[in-house]
Amino acid sequence: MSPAFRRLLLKRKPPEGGTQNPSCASIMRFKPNTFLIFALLIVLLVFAIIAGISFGSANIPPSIVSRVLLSKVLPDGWINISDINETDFVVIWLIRTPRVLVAAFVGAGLAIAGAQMQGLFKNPLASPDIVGTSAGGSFGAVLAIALGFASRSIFYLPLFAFIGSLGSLFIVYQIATQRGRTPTATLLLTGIALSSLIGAATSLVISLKFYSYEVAVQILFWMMGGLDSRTWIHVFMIAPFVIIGSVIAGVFLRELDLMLLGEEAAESLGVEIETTKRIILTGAALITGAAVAVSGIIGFVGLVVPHIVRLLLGPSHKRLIPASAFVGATFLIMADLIARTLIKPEEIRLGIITASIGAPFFLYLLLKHKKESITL
Amino acid sequence: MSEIVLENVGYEIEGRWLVRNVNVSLKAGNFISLIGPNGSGKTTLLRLMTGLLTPGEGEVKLNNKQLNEYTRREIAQNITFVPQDTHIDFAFTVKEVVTMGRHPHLGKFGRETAKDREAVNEALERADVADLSNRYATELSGGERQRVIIARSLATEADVLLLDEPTANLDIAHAIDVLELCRKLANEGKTVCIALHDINASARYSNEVILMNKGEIISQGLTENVLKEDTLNEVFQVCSDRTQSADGKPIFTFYRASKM
Repeated sequence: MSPAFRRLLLKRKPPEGGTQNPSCASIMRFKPNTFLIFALLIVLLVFAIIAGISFGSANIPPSIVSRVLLSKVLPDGWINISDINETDFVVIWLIRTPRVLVAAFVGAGLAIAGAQMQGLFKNPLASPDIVGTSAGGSFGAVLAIALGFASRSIFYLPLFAFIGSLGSLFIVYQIATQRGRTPTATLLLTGIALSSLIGAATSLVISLKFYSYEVAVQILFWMMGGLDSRTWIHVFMIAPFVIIGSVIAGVFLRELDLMLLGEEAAESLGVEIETTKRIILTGAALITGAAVAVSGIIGFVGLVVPHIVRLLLGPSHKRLIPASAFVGATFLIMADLIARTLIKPEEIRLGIITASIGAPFFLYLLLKHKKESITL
Repeated sequence: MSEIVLENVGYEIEGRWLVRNVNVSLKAGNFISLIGPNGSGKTTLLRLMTGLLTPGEGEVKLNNKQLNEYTRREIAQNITFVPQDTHIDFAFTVKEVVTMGRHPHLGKFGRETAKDREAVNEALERADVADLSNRYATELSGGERQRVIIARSLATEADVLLLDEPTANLDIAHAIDVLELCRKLANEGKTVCIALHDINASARYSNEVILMNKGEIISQGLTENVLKEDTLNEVFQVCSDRTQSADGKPIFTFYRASKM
């Protein structure tokens, strides 16, 4: 999308002559369009949620889905659902709604974490797993499956994955920090190096388990990412971390903007660079760790969604972070829908769908901007 | 009204002293120019004054309190720094960039008030970038960007302004505008310190000069006392001729002596 088109969407025009009451004029020029875009994004998300719950191996009319959802949200008695089939109700409320909610939280969370990583590292190729969180999470999950813990309780796999994620961020951070400073370039390279190392360890564990077909399959399926059999327990596993991570992101919106101008500029404008970096990284890691724990490795959401939003709304994190959350949630809900329905009743692994949509789209973005290099 | 004092300040990297034995006092109401050859330590000195670098030796004090006793936000409210490199790689509008200058005054959850918007508008006007308000920073020329960064510094309403070669990319008219703006700000009571390559600009606009060479201060004080031909010749390894402009300000012409 060319800057000209974006300007059209945002209706930004340089003022004709001088600046008469410029503050008022800029608010009028700005808000309606940002407001419209956000309203549109929310509407799309609501549609996605309803579509995600309605369609699947068995389709349920959206009107029934809406009534069930409303009856759960509004006080008792406002919506009459006595005529709804018991099976439909179970499918809607106990099977599909939690799955769609997990998709929404994971999508929103990964998009927020991805946007923050791209801002922190000033690198358009940054994604949430760049500091080793995905690699660590994989290792934890694979260990849980290989050692048999995963089959003992529903909590072990997410727990191991989560510890693996945060543990690997901790190691990366310690290695990259010297004399109290953590240069982002060092952090990036350390994350890549450690991810490779942990990846090797993960492969080792897998290879030792090849003789056990079921375990190997379970591991592979997990690593491709998926939301099959996600229940309300998984919703409660991921929601707190995405919410905490979002709150942290929300508190540091302006700081992230300033850090885009360079660490020195940000510091001279009053930002405590190292503390801010540490907090933002922790928030993003919490989100990514929880996402990996609950849904396996899902790529491209954190990488591509922020770029799409930036094209529409610009680099300021005040708009980027909330919008990325909405777009990420919508994207993953729809991707999961495709995963469930493309070759129904079989399911395609979610990571395959996100890569299949995300990668071509990313290539398209690169080709579109061949002349200009892709920046933030 | 703020004052910066450096006592016996030194800064080294891996054994090499970039700046040493620096004793400087920048008082309110003064326009001090910092001159010296490349590598003399001007940028390092400015960075030490803003607290971006911590001195290996000596103390940097703002209003009689050591810099490391302030929070970064407090420093930012009092001292603003315009770096040499003004590259902005992101499509922020000029207005958004200048508004970032209000960050030191906005708390974590602070929303911009009318006072902030007013400060931003005034900064935009004073730096003559008001008509660029809605342009994207990535589309500006080097000179326009430099003025935008200066506007951002003005928006902080800090009492101490430190600028590292702010006129480097500016055309003559805009260079004069910036220097005259700094002169005006100093007259209003601010403390302005600018690293300059242009000796004549220094002679014309600043009332005090700090002359540096190889990390040490060679001479400092009133402009007419520091800008002497023989001192300049020695430090810059050139020959100079001093004349006077129509309004009584010194003009230096520099040339290389032929090698004997």
